[in-house]
Amino acid sequence: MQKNQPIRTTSLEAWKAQWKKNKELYILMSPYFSLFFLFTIVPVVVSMVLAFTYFNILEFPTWAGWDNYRKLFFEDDVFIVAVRNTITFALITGPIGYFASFLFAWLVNEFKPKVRAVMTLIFYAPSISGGAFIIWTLIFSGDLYGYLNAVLINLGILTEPIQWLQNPTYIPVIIIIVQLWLSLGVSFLAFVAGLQSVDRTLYEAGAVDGIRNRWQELWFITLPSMKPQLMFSAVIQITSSLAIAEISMQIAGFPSVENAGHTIVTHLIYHGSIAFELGYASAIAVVLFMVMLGSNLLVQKFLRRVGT
Amino acid sequence: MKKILIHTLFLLLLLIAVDQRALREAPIFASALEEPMSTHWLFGVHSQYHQGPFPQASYRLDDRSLDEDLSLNTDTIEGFDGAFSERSIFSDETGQATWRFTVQEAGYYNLRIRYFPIEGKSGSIERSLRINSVSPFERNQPLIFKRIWRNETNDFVRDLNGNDIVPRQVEAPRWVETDVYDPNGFDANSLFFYFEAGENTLTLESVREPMLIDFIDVYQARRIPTYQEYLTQHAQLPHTVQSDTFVTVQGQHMHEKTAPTLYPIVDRTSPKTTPQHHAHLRLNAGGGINYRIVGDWISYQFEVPESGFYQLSMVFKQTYLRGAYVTRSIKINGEIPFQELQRIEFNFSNWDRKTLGDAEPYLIYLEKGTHDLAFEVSLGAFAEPIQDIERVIENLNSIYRQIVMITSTNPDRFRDYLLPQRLPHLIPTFETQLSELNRVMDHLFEVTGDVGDQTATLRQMAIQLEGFIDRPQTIHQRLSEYQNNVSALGAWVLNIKEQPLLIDHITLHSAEAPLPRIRANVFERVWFEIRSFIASFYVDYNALSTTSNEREETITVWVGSGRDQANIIRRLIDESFTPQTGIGVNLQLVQENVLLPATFTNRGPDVMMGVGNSTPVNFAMRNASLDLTQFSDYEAVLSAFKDSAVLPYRFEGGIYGMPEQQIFPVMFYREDILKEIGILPEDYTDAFWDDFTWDDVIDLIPELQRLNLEFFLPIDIVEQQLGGIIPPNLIYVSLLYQSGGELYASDGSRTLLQERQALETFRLWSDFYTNYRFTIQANFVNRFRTGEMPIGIAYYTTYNVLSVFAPEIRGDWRFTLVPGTRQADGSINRAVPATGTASMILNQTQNKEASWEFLKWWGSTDMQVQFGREMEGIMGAAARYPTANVAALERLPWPSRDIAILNRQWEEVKGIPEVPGSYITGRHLDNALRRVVNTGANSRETLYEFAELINNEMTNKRREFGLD
Repeated sequence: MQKNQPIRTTSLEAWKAQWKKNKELYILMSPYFSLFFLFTIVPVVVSMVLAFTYFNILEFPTWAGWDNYRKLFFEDDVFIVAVRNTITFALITGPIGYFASFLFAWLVNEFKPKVRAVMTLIFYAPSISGGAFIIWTLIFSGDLYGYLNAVLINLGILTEPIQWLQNPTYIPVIIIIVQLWLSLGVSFLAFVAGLQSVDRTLYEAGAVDGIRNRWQELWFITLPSMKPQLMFSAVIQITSSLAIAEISMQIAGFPSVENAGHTIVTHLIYHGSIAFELGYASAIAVVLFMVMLGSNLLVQKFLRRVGT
Repeated sequence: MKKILIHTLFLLLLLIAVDQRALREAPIFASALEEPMSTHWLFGVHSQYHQGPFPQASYRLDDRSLDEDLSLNTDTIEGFDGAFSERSIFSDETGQATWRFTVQEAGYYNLRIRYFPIEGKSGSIERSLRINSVSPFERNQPLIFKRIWRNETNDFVRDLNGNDIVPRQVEAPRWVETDVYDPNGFDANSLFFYFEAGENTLTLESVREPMLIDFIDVYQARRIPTYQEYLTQHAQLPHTVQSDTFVTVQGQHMHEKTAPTLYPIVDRTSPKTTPQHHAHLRLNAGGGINYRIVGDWISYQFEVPESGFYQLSMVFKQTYLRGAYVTRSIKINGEIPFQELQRIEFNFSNWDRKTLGDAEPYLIYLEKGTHDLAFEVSLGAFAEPIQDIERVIENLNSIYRQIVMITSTNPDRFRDYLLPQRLPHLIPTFETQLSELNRVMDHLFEVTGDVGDQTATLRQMAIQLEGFIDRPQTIHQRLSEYQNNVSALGAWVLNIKEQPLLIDHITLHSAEAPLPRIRANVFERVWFEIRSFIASFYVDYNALSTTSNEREETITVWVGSGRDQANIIRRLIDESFTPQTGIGVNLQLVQENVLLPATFTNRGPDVMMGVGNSTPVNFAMRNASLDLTQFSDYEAVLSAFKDSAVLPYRFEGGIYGMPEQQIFPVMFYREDILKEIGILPEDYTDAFWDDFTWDDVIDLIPELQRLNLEFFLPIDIVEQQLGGIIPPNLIYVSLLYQSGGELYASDGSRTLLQERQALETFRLWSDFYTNYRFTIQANFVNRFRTGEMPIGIAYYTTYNVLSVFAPEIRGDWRFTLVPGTRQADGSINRAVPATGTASMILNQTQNKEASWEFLKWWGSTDMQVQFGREMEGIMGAAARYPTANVAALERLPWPSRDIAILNRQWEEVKGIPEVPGSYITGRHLDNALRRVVNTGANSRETLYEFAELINNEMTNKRREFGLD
């Protein structure tokens, strides 16, 4: 008792001192933090717990142990398909989208401010227009009068309409095209902002220090000085390309033909909303969470080497 | 060098040979190459009819001249209240009445009929007219006799939230005396019909609804004077009324109207509409978008304080037809006083006052007392252009079909089809239609004084026709635009035929009477908007409130459909359920997807209405919906529905939902096209289809495909199934059921798709797409309109869509039973699956009995009929309600011939059971078909493989629910 007392007092007092010192900061932080806690941390923890239960939404969850994970990894064939699709989509759209964002941002950055603003808007438009990608279903409609079919038939390339969105051969390709079309999103904006914020004097200094071409300039000056943006964009890009779902559902249908457009997230939605297996869906979510975390760490490792 | 020359020569020769072959192919459709359709609508009105003669005699046809032998289902009723004749003639919804009479002098006569719209199914009364056994109208178009409706009260009741409640629309039948007018409204005057001297017959054949007929007059109608003549006629009468006299009637206080859709409405677009409230809903105007159909009228009653000449002013809004005007013809006490009142035009405007006669207001003489002013929708100056363009469309469509029969809808760009040679009348037809279009455009310009909005569509068609005439070899390359242009013309006609008008109030006044300002200024408008905006924070627009709050027990009911539906249900509850049972209902408009989380958190409703087929059983598996078999009278209640309707809600011996709607497929066909290409005999009857089987469909395919026409079989488009559940394809299930197969084992533990029967059927079904090249995805309604798919299977609700949105083919199409499969004993099995919606009680309810009372009330025939009629009343025939209640469907306004077919098909409906895991069946069935179609895989193996997956899912689900 006697021994413990001082320690407790000090920790409490230290905390009190902290509070006194940074009171305003804590208060200012509290609204965001409480919202973040309530709507992000709590759900994540809850779903981690739910992943160990059988939960059909209508009845109270019952404990199921590792059952969901066992089913997920050893019994669910569709999950394997979903993982394969997700990885394919992510590996193609993630890096291409990332580099395309940077490339376009870099290009746009070369323009005069007014032109730049217009160009930025043009590139950014697809991703702010919400569900506008739905026009792709018109383009790829399987009807004789779908745009692509009509054009190809008119050109004499096809003789009868192709069921673009109902054929497993075309579905992944179309989803990737649409995802890429959308990819100039937030990361593109971040890059544009990042390029703006690079200190111009560094380029002069670099020139003096012996930078010989634009590539060196890019690698040794531009990229290192916009590391935060690179990091931010990478995180966004990874999450968005691993979480492709909305596009797949709208374009290829939900569920898509022979699961050709099935991703981890649509698998999750499927089990949550059609099969009413929320515990199972939570397990999928946890797996997805881990995958995202892992790939983020990987990318961070890589980005640390930029400019070296 | 030589080699090249020889090659070139050879090529040339080849080309010529091909060309000549094409030429020899030329006229393959002798029957289709005749003159384009006949061009007059009324051949009773001969083109020279204005030369007369117009004999002055008149003949009255009543029960005494009724020819008993030629009449069917007619009866006479003695001394019906208000009838002039001793005995009135009752004409039922089927049958016909024929009158025989002798005409002294041959010539043109008008017809006048006095009828009583006796209680039926609340639909419009339709009779087709025949004079001496011949219909004077093209396509035997029926005459429409309007029913008379009223607001139940013009003292509007407010609910607890302070909003006005739309008064119920009630039928107020009375004897109506009317001339026979053109059912299309193209001619505003009473029609002339030619009668020979000597014996004549006149027949009214029932198409829809019963009616009482007092008499029919064959006579000369009164000629309507011009305004000048009218003034001279009334010259001796006292001229002036006191300078400040005016009588105002609000647009929402109608006296009578011809349709329940013309109910009072709420307008919030101007603070000056009277009455108006910034927060609450006030019924403050009459008419609106529903007040658009030619022949409909609304009448108002005016109490005129003193005799004299009055001007008539109306405060109106017409924001529907831009660059044109809408027309009303005005009848005072049932008569048009002078010709000018036949065409009162309302220009495009957002609230304005119009004094009839405009700069020189018409003076209308009215005696002291009550007067009836009726405002009838008419086409006015647009009648002629519409008629002309309809003819153009018909001709262009007919040409299109003939072209497509040669080139297919998907022509080879690089081939010259030599269309002008093979269709010799092609270019002349285009030329006449082009000059017709140009004439109409000039005419429209004269009428509206405006080029632009209204003529753009016509101009576009004209430009394309010019192109066709100049370069006929490009016609086949431009067919899709051609078709688009023709349907744009159709849309134009549709658009301009509709003449909506919103009326705030109508005033009869003396010349100098001070009329209030009706246009709000900026400040008034801003102030109004600000107050409404603020009010939107505290007024709950989602709860549908009731009129009183005295009750013992209250249940919460959620309805997942639209606001209109919810409003009707609310009113029906207040009018009948709560007074009858003393149970209050808290009705809320909630989407179905909220139900799940709400139920989990125990905040769900007692009753959920309008859920999909699979929901009740899905909830039942998880103990969330209530088993209806626990109520002692459940059998009696559910006997109102077919067993097939209840089947999807059965689970492990219980019943977890009560059917609301049940929708099943029928086969639609274009009568005109099938006759044209010789598939249907000219004088076929519905019995023609009685022996129609799938074998006949297969025989039909080459005949259709030879002419590049197609048969439509539906496949659910996956993109549209965002709910994620694809029902098993209805064609496959039909074929399966017809051949004696089943989807699931009787205990629901596995699918039977691996049985031989199912695999065989699957091969047959996939053959349609692989061997017979059926189109997998198509917009059936559109292609049915254009005639590319003149026959196809679809849910019967497609009828509503077609009858409302494809008016240009009205009367050209019908529906019949789906093809069947011949059984060993020679009979034909036409089993089809059905889909639908249900109401269910949630298990967590505290008010089981009250909820069950509600379900019983809602499923009862009377309520289903009333709901169906009111829905149709408010939203028009497009919203005809596909009730699951057998007796109720009979009483909805279906034409008698159609209801007979529906009932026959309904007899053969076999539901699809819902079992644990069944949500996967439709999906894998679709996967199997796609794989066969996409990769040409063996159909048998493919289905077998996917059926295995279905079985796995079902086993998993059964394990989950501990069912094995």
